Amino acid sequence: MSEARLMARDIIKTLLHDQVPQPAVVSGAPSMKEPVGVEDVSPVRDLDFMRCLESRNQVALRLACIGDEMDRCLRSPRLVQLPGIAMHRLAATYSQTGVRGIFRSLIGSLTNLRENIWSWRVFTPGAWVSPDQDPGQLFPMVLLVFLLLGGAWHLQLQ
Amino acid sequence: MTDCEFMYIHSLAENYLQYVLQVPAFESAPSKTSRVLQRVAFSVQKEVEKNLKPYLDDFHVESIDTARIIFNQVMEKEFEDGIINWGRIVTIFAFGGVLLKKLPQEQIALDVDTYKQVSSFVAEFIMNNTGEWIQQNGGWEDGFTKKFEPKSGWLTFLQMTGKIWEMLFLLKQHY
Repeated sequence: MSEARLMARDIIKTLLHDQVPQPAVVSGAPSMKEPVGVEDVSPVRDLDFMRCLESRNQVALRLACIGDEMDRCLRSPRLVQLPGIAMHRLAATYSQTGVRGIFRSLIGSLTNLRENIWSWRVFTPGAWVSPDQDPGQLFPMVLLVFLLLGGAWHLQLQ
Repeated sequence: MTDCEFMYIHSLAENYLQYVLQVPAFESAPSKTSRVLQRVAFSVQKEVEKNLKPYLDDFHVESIDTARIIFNQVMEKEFEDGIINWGRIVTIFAFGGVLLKKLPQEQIALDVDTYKQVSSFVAEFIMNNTGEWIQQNGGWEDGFTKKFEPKSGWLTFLQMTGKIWEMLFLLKQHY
């Protein structure tokens, strides 16, 4: 019976000892500082990594846009490819009469076109125009030619 | 065949990076394709360096290995959508030039073959990711050079004349 009492006392002492706070451990333990240090460094590194990753992604997307835009711009000249019959006419005229022939043919086409437009307007009710206004009909065409030639010059300068 | 293609692309990259560093070329004169590539890619590189400086400042290119890692990451992201065209291929060379210039100057000075190492991973990426597309789209001579070579004024004039013809033809059909 006395031994049992001694064992019980030992158990109680042990429990009480465990429940008592340890001032030395709380105040000066290095383990308490280590988590703070790790937490301070880790977010900074993560932030740097994310920033670096974002920068690389942005550069990649911009490069893709630049490349696509470059490719798109170089497709534009292809739009000037002629229909088959027009190309055939141009090639035939050039091979037969040279550059002068092309210009002569172009002037002739403009004249025919003007005559066709005039005839069309004559036979359209309400679209009658006086002969005095005839020079005005050519102005848009001349302006168009100058704009196209200017475009050619601009394209050459690029 | 593949080795020849890789060597050709590698020479293009090497010639371009020499052009970026302004290293005198003691070998034979660069080919027409190489000259066209130098002109086009360098203009892209200047645009990138100017407009993307805030992002590029976050790139800490401390060594060739770092440059390789950054290069592959950016290129994989650029071609992630699966789109390949000559414009994007030009940007590959341009970005290689950007990274080469961001390497420490002392490393470039000490190691005269630095640009060759950069040209290696540039060529490797192009070969592995766009080599098949390049073959299917005319190759460097019939595909790239014909697309990017500057056109003479005479050809431009003929094109514009052709455009006039086209418009006149369409107008005649309409009227």
